[in-house]
Amino acid sequence: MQLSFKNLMKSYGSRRVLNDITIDLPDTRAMAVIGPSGGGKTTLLRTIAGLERPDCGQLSIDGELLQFDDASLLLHRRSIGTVFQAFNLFPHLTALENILLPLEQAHGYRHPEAMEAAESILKRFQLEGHADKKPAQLSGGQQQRIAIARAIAIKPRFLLFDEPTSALDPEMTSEVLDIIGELRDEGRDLLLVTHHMGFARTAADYCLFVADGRIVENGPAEQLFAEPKSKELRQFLGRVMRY
Amino acid sequence: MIYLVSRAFVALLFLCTLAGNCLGAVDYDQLFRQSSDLMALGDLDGALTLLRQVPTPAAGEEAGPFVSSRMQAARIHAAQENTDSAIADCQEVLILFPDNSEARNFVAALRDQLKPGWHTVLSDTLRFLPSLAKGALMTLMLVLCTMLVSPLGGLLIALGRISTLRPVSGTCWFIIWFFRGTPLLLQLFFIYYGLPSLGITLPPFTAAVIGLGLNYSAYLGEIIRGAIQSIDHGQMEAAKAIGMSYSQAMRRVIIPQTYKRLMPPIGNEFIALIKDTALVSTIAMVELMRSADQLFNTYFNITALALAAVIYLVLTTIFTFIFEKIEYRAGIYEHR
Ligand SMILES: Nc1ncnc2c1ncn2[C@@H]1O[C@H](COP(=O)(O)OP(=O)(O)OP(=O)(O)O)[C@@H](O)[C@H]1O
Ligand SMILES: [Mg+2]
Repeated sequence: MQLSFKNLMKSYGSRRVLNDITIDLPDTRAMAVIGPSGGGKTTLLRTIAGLERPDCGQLSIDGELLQFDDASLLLHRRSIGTVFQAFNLFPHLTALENILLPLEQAHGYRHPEAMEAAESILKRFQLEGHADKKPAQLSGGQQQRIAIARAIAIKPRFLLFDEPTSALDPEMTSEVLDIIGELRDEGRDLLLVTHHMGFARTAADYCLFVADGRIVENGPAEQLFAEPKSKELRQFLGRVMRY
Repeated sequence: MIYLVSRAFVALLFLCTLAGNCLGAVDYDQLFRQSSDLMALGDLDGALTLLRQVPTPAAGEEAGPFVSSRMQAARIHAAQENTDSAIADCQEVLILFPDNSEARNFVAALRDQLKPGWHTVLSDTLRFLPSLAKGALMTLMLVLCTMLVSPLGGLLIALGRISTLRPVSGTCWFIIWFFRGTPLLLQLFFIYYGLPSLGITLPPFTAAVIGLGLNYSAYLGEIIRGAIQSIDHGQMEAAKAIGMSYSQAMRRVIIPQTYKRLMPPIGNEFIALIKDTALVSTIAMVELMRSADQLFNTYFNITALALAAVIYLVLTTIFTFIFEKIEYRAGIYEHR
């Protein structure tokens, strides 16, 4: 996945959340986004996901300029998989129905085909036993794994994760991170906002440091953590690595 | 009050036409009018004297005024608790017209009054039940039709209200504002008595369903809008993120999640609806309230009203029970 931003801006009221981002990133497989709270990571990811319209500026994905009209955004969203930190699953549907919904509604699968796809993906994640449970009957980690399964079932171009483990306890966190690691090993393109520095460092091959609405620093993950150049990143790493 | 005025109005119209038809004949209308005036003043004996002036009709002569006068006299006698004279009045009619059901029923009712209390109540109940049941069936039909129409109307109004298209949300706001802001009775009068002057004449049942349907759509619209907006924004986000369009997200994700929270307030509205159907008795619909009212006016018998109250209670109880069941099922995903 290759991302290019040109003069990308977004404000909420008078607050500038994305501040004139202009950068051509190299073509990477697994990209991590780190940075302080309120720095604009989620907003950046939502823009890439086609859920947010920037006030101005351009965004190209794999050399293709993203159009921000409703119809183009809908098609764009159908081509990628997005997982948030919570509220991914629909509580009135079972795990299986949650996976079937986008296949049948957004991707035109007929029911038998959708069933086949959903069942094979549930099996892959060892979630078959939970197919007929409602989200309220599943643990947080199981819910996130179902959400990831749902995102993958549609065969997306790439996956976007926004702190998918921040609402989970440590044990569930590792079961979700394991899956993300597996997906990376399969060679899937993904972009992950995370506050797990260790995971970002080992699992990602490229890393962005976002603060104050800008991409302050970027580079291969190992290098970024080993030799932070900017004062902001050094301070940030100093703070998050303290404990 | 409006009910009485409207009835008086209808009665007046009726009398005017009668008067037109009977020009040249003895002016019984005048006589009836004078007798009711006397009754209104409390002079029952005076009214009786006037009514007795209507002679027994000869063969082939118009019998209407005679029957009316004797029955009116019977009612006055009954009101004076002079049961014997009341029965005698009815007998006069029955001699000429043995099949006159009004007179027969009245005699039966008067005879019952001479029997012990519980017996009277029982026989009144048996006598009233058939026509009350017919009325209750009509009430039920009205309720069911409105229950079918108004959730659909309400959903449209709710979706319109949250639409980003200004004209659409404005129109829906206006509909809610108008139908919640004026009395249902007024709306029914407008639809049934007012629309004909614009060239649209509706049968009473249609007018009643349209009036109730619009009114309840407006109320349900606000309830449904509130329920939709109470669903966490994350759900719309998640639906969009997996590539669903707005209408798919509404249909498959948002609206199904409102069912549970919709049920209690909608149940409430439908209970109110059962009772609000009584208002359509003013636009010539013979439903439960009207049937009870007719029986009460014919027999001066409170049992008819008490029975109607019981039937309303039965209906509301049944519906309350059904809604509780539906509410439980709608929320089943929240039970572990
Ligand atoms: N819908 C919104 N309306 C108003 N302000 C918003 C909105 N979404 C985000 N913001 C503001 O924009 C800023 C950036 O938010 P964003 O969620 O992108 O940060 P973040 O880097 O993801 O932070 P965190 O690590 O806490 O998730 C924050 O100050 C936030 O308060
Ligand atoms: Mg965030």
